[in-house]
Amino acid sequence: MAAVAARQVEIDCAGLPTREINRGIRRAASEGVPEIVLLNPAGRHNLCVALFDPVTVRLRGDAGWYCGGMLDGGTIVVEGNCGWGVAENTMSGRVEVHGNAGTGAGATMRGGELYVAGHAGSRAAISLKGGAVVVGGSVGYMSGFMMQRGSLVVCGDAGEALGDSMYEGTIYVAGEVASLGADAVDAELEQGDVEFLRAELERHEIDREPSSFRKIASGRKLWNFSKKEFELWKTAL
Amino acid sequence: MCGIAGILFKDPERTGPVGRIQVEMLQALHRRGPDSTGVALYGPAEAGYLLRARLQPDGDGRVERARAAIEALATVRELVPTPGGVSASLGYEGELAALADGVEAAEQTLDVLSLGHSMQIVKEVGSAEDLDRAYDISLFAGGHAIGHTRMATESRVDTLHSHPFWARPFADIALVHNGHVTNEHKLRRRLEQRGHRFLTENDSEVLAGYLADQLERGEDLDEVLERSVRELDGSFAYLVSTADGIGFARDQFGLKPLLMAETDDYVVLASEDIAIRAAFPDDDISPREVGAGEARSWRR
Repeated sequence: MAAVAARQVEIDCAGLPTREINRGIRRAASEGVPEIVLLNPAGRHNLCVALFDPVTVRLRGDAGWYCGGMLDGGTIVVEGNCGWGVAENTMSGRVEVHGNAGTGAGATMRGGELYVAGHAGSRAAISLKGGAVVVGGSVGYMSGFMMQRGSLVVCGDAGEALGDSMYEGTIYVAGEVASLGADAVDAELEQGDVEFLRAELERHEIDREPSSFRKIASGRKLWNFSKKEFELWKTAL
Repeated sequence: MCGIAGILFKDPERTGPVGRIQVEMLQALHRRGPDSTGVALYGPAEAGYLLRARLQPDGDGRVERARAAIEALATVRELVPTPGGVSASLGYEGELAALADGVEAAEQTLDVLSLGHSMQIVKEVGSAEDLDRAYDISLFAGGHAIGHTRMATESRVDTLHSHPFWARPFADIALVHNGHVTNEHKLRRRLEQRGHRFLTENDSEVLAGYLADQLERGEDLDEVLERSVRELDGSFAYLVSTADGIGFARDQFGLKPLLMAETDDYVVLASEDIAIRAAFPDDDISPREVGAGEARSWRR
């Protein structure tokens, strides 16, 4: 009979090299441990990167930069704040940040979900290629820049140049938008949008009415244009 | 890439372990800047001036030569050698530029690192722990402090090119900076034409002079910081400290990191959360990223 894996493994990050912590996570995950708890993460960078097993990792504190990068299938819960590039290039799975996130939250995600309960910094969901980034608070400057697919939901305010040069995808904002970026335009909130928002808001217990969100999409003017259209160059650059 | 960090206790009646906090934050940021480390520490204000100077290793008697150079211009109440130079308490009534330039002219091995009623700048090549071992930074209690770990990119790795930069010759003003100010040459020329003197080729020293020049003309710190966001080209996040406060500004593209956390008691700023958590591991604070183009200040 196969040995039964422990239900939970704790790793105390204090004094351990990051490489050792990440090896420990991957080892426990590959052995079938369903939940791994990281103690004393203390804002350390690169925690939980390249996690490919369906495991839940809980960080009891703040994470530094690139937490959960390249995630594929697992769940990461940061019971604190995160630095730059949280959940960068996630393929599938879920990252949950109970506090604030830094610049580039959910950058280039291809699938899965990032939920930031607090605020996210500049360039949230930059170059998003799929999945959803849901922010309970506000997002900073140039969020959704060059977004290609997926959704960015902002329950607070959005900084300047929101959705600049977005190719596709959808941005929803409940609060104020400082300004829209080049070729980002207002769009009609449709039934599918309302249903998507209602599901996301209920899941995260956010008390917002889906119909109060503003929808922003690509104006598609930058998809194709003549290089002699100087006015468009000006807005694009 | 460099690391910057600031701490200010809001209550003007209170001092806190700003030296220890700086050492812990800067050591946590060591990877952002392994070349050199420095702090500007603010203690209780003195009637006279506190001077910190670097002495080049130049044989025996350099401390006594430094003392003689300073005594020619000011009353030396106390002068003690430090690992890299001298620290002195002075009585002096004249222009600070004349004092700083005068002692440097009289003693060629001496470079003034800071002058102020409450500020002392301590900086050396090496890590925060190295600096603490040499200068006992962590024993210093005061109202506020800023600090820096440097990864040199465009100018030399030595004590003079380390941060913080004293905003020479203005008392008690210092700056730490992470980034590149690309219109530095224009600012340098403009300030030099107005009589400013710079010791290094470092853009951050020019930035310190640029800010202090406006503050000395009576302009409000918040306005100066906000204007700097529009007038400076490049990518930057910097902290400036005065006799009673600290402020920050971040470039309009948000290219250099800066976080802040504020409680009723203190404000802490750092390039990365790892620094804030090193100094405040158990505090219920939620550091947030400073916005692109944001500028703000606090006074004790």
